[in-house]
Amino acid sequence: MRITVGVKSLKEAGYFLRNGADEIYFSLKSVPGHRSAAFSNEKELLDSIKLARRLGKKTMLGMNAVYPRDKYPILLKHARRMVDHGLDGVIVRDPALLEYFNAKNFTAFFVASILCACFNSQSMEFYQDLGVRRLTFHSQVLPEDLKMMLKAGAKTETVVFPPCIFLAANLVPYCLCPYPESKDPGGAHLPDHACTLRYKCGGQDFRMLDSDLYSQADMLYDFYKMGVQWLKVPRQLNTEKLIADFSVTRILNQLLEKGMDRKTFSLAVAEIVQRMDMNKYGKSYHFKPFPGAPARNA
Amino acid sequence: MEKAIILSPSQARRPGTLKLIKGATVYLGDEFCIHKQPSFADFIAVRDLTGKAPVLLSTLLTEPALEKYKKLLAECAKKAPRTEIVVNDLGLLTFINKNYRGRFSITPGRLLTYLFDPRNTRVLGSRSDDEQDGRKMKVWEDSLEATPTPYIKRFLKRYAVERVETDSERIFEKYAGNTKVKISYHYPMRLMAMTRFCPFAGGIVPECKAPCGTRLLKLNTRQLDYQLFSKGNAYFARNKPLKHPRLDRLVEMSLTPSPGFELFRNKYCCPDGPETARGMCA
Repeated sequence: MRITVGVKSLKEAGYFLRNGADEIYFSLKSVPGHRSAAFSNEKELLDSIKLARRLGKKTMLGMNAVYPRDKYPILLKHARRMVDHGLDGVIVRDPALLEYFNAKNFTAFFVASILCACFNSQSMEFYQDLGVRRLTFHSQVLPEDLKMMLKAGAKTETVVFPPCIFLAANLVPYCLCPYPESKDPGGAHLPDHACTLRYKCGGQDFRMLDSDLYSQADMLYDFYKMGVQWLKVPRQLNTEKLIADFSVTRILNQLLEKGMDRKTFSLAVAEIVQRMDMNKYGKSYHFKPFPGAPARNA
Repeated sequence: MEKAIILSPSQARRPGTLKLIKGATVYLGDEFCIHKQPSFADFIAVRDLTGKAPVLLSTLLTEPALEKYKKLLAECAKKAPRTEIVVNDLGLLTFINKNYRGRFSITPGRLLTYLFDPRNTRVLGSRSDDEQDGRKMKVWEDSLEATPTPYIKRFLKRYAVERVETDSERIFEKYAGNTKVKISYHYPMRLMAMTRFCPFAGGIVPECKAPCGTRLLKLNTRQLDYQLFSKGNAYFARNKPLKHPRLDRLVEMSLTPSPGFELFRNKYCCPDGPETARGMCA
């Protein structure tokens, strides 16, 4: 599988492109996407596109929010400018924006975000009719379901998140709980995502369930075997964690490509993820600079 | 104003259900769980019980669940045309539009209206005083992520939509102020999250006999400033009642407050397996 990784600076772009990423994706702070981790200036972004092209790698622009109508011309102008500079495609979630792009004859390589909630071949078709050529699937779409979807639907490029680095306890975009430390009402003093908190239900402990590493390893194995093309490492403010997430993804992908059998792969995933202790890097939404760099240069 | 009650197929067939319905319109199915979708036999059973065709309530459908739903649609289109379907999946909407346009009455459910208005979904903190609420509401408005109304209008026309549903007052206002569709409101619970990792089934399951029933669990933590509840494979907060001249139908869930719950995990979330690193979500 190829690896696409979300970046927020030229330095990150250079690091990941030179260390095994096949594609980088990003947004500009002034034209925001769904995540706050974004480039602060356009020059660095254009330089990242240039670098990717020089290295024979791809670049995608994240426009995966729902935008007000008055911003559409700005979004179109920005996307066109990026494509003119060599950008390969645009990640979108909003059918209204896709319809607008089509009406303006802007036909880039469109990628449907995980936020499109594609769970069956007919919803794939809904987005494909709007020009989408690559679809990102949620980790709660089981491999057996995805296999049926891809068989029933028109041909498309496919993207999954490595389940062991990407929490998927609830379904986006239908997790409506406030984001921790955000401006969302109720979010400012929230220490963590609602799906990670410990609850009491009657006298018993309660947690929102997630899958365990063995199940996640099985899923990843099955996705690889069925021919999923892309593994996605989500962008985040915490660069140290992003590097660790990327590193795990790359190692696991290499094991799959070496032809490791399911059982050995499952044990390897559990061993590697536990040994690397991903929780030690902290939260994805806490800013941590590039290791060794002053904070403002990260 | 019309009243409606949500019943899963197994609830609808229980003795004493007619008393529970109290003349309300039955919403047959579930908005969140693929395992609580009805068959045509369930549809007929409710129609025979109440003397009125139920509204079909659907969820986000996986490919196997969509395949099953196609059978229900085929029978309904033949034997019960113009049945109302609450659609919560763009795929199901696409399929009906292609194959059965005009044969069903289409109602986008609260998942679809949320898809277009993701920022309208936030629940206000219950501990805030009025002044803070006002400030928080301003923040909310400033960060509003809302699909432009011209697109919404085209969408409603394209899919011949006659009614929409929501549990958000602000989404309600949006449709009331900009469209002529009928609007249903869900009360007393508003959605906070849904998952396929069902706490009652111990994770994702290929088949399920719905042990969750109508149980409503109160989840306590000091870290949230609103009360969270678990019901089936979704999480909820209390909703405010709505008074509005355009409110056409009030939809209620059947709820049984449940005192406690011992969480277990199935083979997808086995207790002996190591857990993943937590702390990242979309």
